[in-house]
Amino acid sequence: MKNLKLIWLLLALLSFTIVSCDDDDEPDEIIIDSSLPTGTFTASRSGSLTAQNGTPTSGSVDLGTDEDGVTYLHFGSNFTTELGTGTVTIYLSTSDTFMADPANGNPDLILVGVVDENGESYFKISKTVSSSFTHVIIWCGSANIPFGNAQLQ
Amino acid sequence: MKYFGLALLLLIQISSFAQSGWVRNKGGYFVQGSVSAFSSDKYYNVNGELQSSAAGTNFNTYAFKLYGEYGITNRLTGLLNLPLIKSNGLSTTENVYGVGDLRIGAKYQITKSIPFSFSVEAEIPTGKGENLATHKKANDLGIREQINLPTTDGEFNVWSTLALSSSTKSGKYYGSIFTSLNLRTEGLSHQLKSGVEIGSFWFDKLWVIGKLNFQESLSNDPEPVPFLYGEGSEFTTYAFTAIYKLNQHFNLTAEYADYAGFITSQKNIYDGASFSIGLALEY
Repeated sequence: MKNLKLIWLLLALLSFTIVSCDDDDEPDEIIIDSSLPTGTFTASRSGSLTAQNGTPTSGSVDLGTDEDGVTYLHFGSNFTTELGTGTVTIYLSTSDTFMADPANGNPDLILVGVVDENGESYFKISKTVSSSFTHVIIWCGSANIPFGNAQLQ
Repeated sequence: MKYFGLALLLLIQISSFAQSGWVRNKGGYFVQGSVSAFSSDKYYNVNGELQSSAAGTNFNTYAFKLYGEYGITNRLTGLLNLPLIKSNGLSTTENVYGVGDLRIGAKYQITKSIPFSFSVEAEIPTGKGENLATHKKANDLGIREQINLPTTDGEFNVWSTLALSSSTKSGKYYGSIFTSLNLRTEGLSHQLKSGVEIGSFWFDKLWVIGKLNFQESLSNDPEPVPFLYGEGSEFTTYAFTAIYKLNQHFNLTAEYADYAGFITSQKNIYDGASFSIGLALEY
């Protein structure tokens, strides 16, 4: 039993040494981003963002699925919005107007994610998106002011 | 003549609260501390459209300000304006606190017979223009969102003002007009501000003053920055001010101000009334 523990200890030290040596070489780590689609992303509906309230919001947006059937919202590399004012969130909406109804669970809205940066990005949507969700709204939640929206068709 | 001199002194005192053609005598000074409060959920965007989505989400701001004037010579007066403590917040967020922009400069009286002055004031930022207020509740993703509600716009700018004033011989009535150019940096739009002010003196104790100002942006392409930077902001304001003389040196002040749209309509502002009260000391 003692020998077994000693072997495990030696293996652990050896593994640590190997990892340390690997760190000196070229980085070889694989980052698995669960927000990225698996395989090919296929858009089912698409739209272009229209700016609101003086923000530089623009770019293409697509709603679709990956090869595993997981739903994603995809922003193209041409996507921009105003990020200097604070947190900017992305919603799917049943219209171009943000219709909050928190008492009833906001049936007209699905919060998709928070914009971290401009440019291309994917947002995984765990909920089923019905066809009634026809718009994407870029939203400043603290002030309740829209930065832009796109109709998906 | 003696009565006129007293009236002129009072007028100079009043002129501390707005741009005017009067200056202080050498060695004379004026200091005022005031608190102000503003709350509104009527946000007009840079295109002048009232944002119905913002209804119910009030923007609140409170400030304690210090204002001072000092007569460097009989024609030159130093000016200082410092919002010492400012608080900004939305009804959805916690409040943030900071110091407002320091405004310092001087006013030179070009002609004394007709009070006509030119002033230059530098507005010095007291920070980088960032002060993130955090949402009171987490959103559906468990994230507490933030919004930038800075107490300083983070940019250096210079106000240049021409002002003309006149009073009746009795000293019980006066009027002033002014126009200011605000040259801004960091790519922000320059601004033009003009206004008129009339005042009357009652019961040898109380000044009642009416003011009408408007501001226009000199650019049709405002930068997309937090609304508190005032980028592209346009408005007309009116105000009623009361100044009650407690004694020869101390005055109580109170002001009600609000926006109107009849000269320049509202753009990139929260439209609502503000209130302020203060105590002023003059020697």
